[in-house]
Amino acid sequence: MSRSGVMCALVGMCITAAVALTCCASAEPLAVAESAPAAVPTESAPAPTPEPTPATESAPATESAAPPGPTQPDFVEDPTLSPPQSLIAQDVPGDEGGALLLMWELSPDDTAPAMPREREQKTSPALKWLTKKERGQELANIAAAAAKSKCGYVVLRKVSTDSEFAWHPSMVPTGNPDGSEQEDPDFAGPETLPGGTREFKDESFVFLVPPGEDSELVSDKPPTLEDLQELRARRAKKDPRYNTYDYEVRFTKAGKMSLPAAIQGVRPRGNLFNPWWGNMAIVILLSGGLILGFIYTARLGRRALYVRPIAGLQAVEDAVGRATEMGRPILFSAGFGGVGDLSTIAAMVVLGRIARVAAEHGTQIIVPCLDPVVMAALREVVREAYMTAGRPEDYREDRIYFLTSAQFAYAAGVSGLIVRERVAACFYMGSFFAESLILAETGAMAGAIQIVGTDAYTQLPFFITACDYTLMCEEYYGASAYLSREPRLLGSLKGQDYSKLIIAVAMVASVILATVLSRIGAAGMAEFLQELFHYRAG
Amino acid sequence: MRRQVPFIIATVAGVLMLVQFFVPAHGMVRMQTVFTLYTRIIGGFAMVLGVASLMQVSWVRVKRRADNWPFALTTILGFVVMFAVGVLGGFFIHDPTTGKLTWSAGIAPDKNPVFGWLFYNVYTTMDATIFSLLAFYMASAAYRAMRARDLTAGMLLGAAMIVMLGRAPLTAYFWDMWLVKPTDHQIASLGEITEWLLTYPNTAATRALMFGTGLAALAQGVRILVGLERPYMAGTGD
Repeated sequence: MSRSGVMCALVGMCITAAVALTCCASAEPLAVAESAPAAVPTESAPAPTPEPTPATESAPATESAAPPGPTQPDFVEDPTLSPPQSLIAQDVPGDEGGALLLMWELSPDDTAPAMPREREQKTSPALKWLTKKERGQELANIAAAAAKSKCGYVVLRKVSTDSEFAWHPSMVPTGNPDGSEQEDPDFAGPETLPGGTREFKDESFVFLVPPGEDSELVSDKPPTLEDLQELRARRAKKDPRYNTYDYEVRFTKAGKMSLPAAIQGVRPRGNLFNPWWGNMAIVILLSGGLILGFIYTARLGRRALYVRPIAGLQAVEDAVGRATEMGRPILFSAGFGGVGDLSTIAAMVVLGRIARVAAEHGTQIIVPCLDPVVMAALREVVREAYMTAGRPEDYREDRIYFLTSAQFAYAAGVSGLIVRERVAACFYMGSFFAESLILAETGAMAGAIQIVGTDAYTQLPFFITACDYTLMCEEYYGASAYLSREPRLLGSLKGQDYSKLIIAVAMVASVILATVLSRIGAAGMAEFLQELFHYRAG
Repeated sequence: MRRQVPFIIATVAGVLMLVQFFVPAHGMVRMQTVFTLYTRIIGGFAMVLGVASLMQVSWVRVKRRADNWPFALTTILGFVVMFAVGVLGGFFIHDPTTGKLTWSAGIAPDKNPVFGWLFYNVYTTMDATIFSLLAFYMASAAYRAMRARDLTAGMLLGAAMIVMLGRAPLTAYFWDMWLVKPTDHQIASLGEITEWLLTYPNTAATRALMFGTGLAALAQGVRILVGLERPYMAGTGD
């Protein structure tokens, strides 16, 4: 890598870091507050009345008629009941900023056993080394005991600018612009939790998208601008970027509820790193570092790097030569991926090499494309290859064209092309799906030599059966390095192999260790070891 | 500059996307959404370019009466007919309630019956026809592949036979009737053997391939990020 390349890379990384930090500029810090004193009734607590008031009187002014329902709590407030203690709010780590965790200690009047918090299930000595099944059974026993206690907790939420908490979804305006009612249970009404519960994860926040990107209007009539603005104003209440939120947690027992433990002005925030993906980050850094290291080492040119012979790549020149001798064209298909797919990018690189060989031999190359953007890119690749080979006058732009974007129409078109043009060599490089066998069998019947490179492992059996040479997955990605024989590219292959070796050794060692642990009765530890390699989607 | 600017753009974009994967903050997620939208917009405009290219290639072939020019003519006619029916059909729809031609803004079958008829009775039929060729191609490919030339080919043949027979209800039934039940389930059923083959050896091999593919893709990505390979500069990066 040249010095200028290193400078460019560093400049790029600095710009990236600046952009990333700008995008991740979080909102105001999360407020962590203690709960309000239990002896002082809060102003936001609704006064208990023996009879429910009519729904229309307590519902906020909206165009839609609220359905009948309780507009006050189902429980009677009892100041003698102790509220939950030490209420705090914490941001949920590693997320987009759409979840908030409320934690409290049990009310002294709560007779239910304390349910371990989600974090404590992985850290407490009693539960840490249990298997998932044993842990689930233990939690189920605690939950069953809690159910008998007839205790519970009620969590209420409101936007800080609202005046009072909503005890029923009907109190929260969720109607459509045309007046029809739309249930919005994600952000309305109290959350009731069983006794012994000590945390509540509020995941109901939703980020408002720019106007025009949301398409949740359900009415057939076009909405007016005022309707849209009102709808967006209501949805904006769920966006933690524009609001702070107040929470109340009350302890309930036998139809009565305590005074609230309250917390005001809190909101979640986005995080800069998802710890669940730490294992993947480590592997990427380790593998990337090894690859870069071996690229640098190869650049120094200390020792020639050996790459095992790959028959499919060795046959590329033979295939093009065969086509030249027969006076027939060669066909190249870049597969079904888009220009952003790595397999298509690899196909572009391989096409550059093949097109250069074809230009040197004076052989025509036909490239029917599935994607117009890929077509534009492949035209440039082939044009550059012909210019590099010193044959720019032989380049024909009409040989690289868009065929169709439909799967089987493309298969039919390419099959017809193979038969009509009587191609002598077919190169299929990229991602392929069900049409793979159609293409391969047609080429086989036409007598063309076929070389395939794909990362679609589901299609490998068909390609191996019908084609002469198949580059499977990593052989395909290494084709550009193999064909060019450039030391730095071969160095990257070496780094890739070493990182594969390290990961394989780690996997084998972990399997042996997990097996031994399971045998000696430490199945929980074995599960913990397995989870180190898990990828969590969220 | 001509070589450095594309490299900087590609590196910045690549590293940004890599960082975005690990940073869950809303700003980064929003950035990815916006980039995806940009890709779709570019793809939409590129479709015009692609169609123009196809029409131009086909028209030249027809004009010069090149080899197989009727196929090129069919391509042009197919495009023109579907385009005309789709666009014009949106303007002239027979409204059954009023009995008059009326405005319609959509090309859904219920609003454009001609387009719908052509799509479902011509295109979809041909699509299914090509798809159904797979059955015959699969049979011919299997006939060529299933030869016990050596040990590994013999193992492949054996495993393929077990899976094929296990998936067929009739053979599975006879296997159970003649072998499984008389021996009081001492011999596993064909379905169980098939599932074992697919769940263990097959999955192990597939995962090994995926494992290698992942690392190879990572290496390819590193090569592109550091500029060793520049497909955006027409391939070779030399």
